[in-house]
Amino acid sequence: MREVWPSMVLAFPVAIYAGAKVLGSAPASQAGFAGMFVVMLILAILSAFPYERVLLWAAGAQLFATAFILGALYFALGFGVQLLAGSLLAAPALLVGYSVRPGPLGWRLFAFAFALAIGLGLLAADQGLTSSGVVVSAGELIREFISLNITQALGLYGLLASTGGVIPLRDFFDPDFIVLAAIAGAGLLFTSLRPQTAWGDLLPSAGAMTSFLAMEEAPVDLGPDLTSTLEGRSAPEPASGIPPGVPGLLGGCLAAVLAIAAAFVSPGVTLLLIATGVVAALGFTIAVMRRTLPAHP
Amino acid sequence: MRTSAMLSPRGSGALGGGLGILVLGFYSLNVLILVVGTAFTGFVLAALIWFSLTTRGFSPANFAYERYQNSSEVIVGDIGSMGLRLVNQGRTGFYAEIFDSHPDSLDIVAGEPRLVTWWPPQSEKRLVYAFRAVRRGEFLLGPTVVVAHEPFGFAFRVTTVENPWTVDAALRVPLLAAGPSTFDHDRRIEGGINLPIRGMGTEFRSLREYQPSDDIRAVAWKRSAMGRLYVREFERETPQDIVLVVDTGWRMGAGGVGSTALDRAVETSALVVRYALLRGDRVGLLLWSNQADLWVPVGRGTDLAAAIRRGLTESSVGPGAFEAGGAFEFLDQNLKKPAHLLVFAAPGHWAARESEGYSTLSRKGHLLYFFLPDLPEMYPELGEETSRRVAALVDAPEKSRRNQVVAALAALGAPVFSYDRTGPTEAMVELSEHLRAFRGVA
Repeated sequence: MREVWPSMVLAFPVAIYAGAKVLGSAPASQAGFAGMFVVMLILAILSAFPYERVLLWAAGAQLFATAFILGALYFALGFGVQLLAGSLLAAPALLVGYSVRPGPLGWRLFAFAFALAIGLGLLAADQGLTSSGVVVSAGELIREFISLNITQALGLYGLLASTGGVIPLRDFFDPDFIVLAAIAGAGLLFTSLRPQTAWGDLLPSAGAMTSFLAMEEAPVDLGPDLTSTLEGRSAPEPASGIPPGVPGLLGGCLAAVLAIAAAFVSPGVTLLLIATGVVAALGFTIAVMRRTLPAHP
Repeated sequence: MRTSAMLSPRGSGALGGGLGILVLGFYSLNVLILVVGTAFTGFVLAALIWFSLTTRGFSPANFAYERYQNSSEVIVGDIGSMGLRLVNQGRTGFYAEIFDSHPDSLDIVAGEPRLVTWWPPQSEKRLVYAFRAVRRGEFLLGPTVVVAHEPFGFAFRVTTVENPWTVDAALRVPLLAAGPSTFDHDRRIEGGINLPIRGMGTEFRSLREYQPSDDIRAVAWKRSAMGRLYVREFERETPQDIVLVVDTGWRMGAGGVGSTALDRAVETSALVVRYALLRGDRVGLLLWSNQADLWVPVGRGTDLAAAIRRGLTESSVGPGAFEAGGAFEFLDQNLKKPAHLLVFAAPGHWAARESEGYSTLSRKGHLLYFFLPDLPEMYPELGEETSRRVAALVDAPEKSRRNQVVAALAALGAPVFSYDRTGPTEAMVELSEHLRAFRGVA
């Protein structure tokens, strides 16, 4: 539980930032829009806690909210759209909540990246609306968000078909969002990348070695010889020399720096480089490793 | 033999997550998402490749090992120990998980058979642990499994150091051991286990008072008077057949570690076999629950002793319930000569089939003796009055069942001996003394 707090504190601001920035452009009259965002944000924060009871409450409340939105859409379209837009605005926060909670690493990272992608889309939609002088209402936001994704897909198709086209997400750049995303990523990795075995037991590290495993009180009389032999057994020992995870971290940093450098030098080649590098490394990994589910000894 | 590096579920999840982010990056073509995806995927791949390269020579040859402070024999319920010294002879250090395989029957009471640690090259690690044997048998310790872990849990390599060690967990009674014994029971039973078969023997020993179970032909009419009959006793001359019937049904599991109803039956059986064989008698063993778990036909010699020893040592409680009727039918079909049948059992019921089987065996000259554990008494007494009352309530159905069985056996005229957690050896001694008094009734 203690390790959830730092990642929550570091990871949620990016999602809150995206939602708050869009809400800042919306008129104050749309209370359902802002209210639903706040409600869903609270649920997202609750769902980050690794308590089953809290999770159940959060899941129940989300189901209720979904039913409420559907009902509102049926009976009062305008208000229902406000609720829907509020939920869309809180989607990054919900995904960040999932990524912070202990669980399968791959899904958590994907959820985090998905949160960033939706956040980018929302900010880009907001920017698109404000730059064209349209008031950011709930309905307009949803329409613009959908339109932006259709444009993005058509742009990608045009890129592949060499017919050209607009790619709105590529051109969007918000330095505040990037900084907050970097902080959120660090918060996420802070808890999920601690030294551990393949089955999740923590490995002894220098920070965790403050309490040496002393000879526990044996429930039986072992005699002096056996007691003395037991005291001579090896204790868990932290890594010495260069920290063992450093090569991986250096590799990650190098890959990121190369990707950024390539993007600045020649954006078109960047994708090709990334794709080639990933395929080559994956090929190597598959060649030397086997995937298996080990039995815990 | 080199070992393959294994991608753990966490590692494959991380790779999958990284690739998923890259897919999002390729969709958005936004630098932020692409950089996040590239950095993370690059990190995971670099970690995997580095781990694979640095541990590529990982094999059993990397380790020198030695077992020390190790027990090869231990009494059930007592403490044994195991020490294991392993040296990493490789050129690189790694995060290691060392695990010395051991059966569940050896309960670890101190120390650890597992160690997770950083293991520098050319250094030694020691695993030491103490265990308590919770059941009889021969148990294998080892091999030792060494797992090299990638520091973030993305991958691992496993190798097995073959260094097995056998621990023999036995009961306090030396099963069929030769030589003089220091056990009081041994000395008492040594003289008394001489079980007779009626009609055998010719050398007169003494007269004694008539008992209802005696053959009327043994009555010494000239020495008898009205209201007081005497029978002649003779020394036994011919070898006798003794068959031990041991219940391995679930009810015999009552009791504490190393002192269950079955453990106690095994102890006493071992004593009987030991002295019967020393005296030249022939012995057989039937382990029975609702079928024959083991049948050692009546015989003698070292091979037979070894077979019985193994059978008794490895006997364990199974899920079935003891069916005496089936056991009697089995014995009827497999015994060629009259024998003494010592039945150590906790039957849950006694019906017509059982009585019929008993009568059939008796008609053929077999003598049956029953040693019935008092199951609630196999546990230590409870301290508090309330606990005792609750236990009495819980035990009431069992006592009722047992009383019904005892009554049925009494109606058949079968000798019945009860035993509690101290075991049936006292009862066996009592029986042997009783039989010595009846020895060689002609």
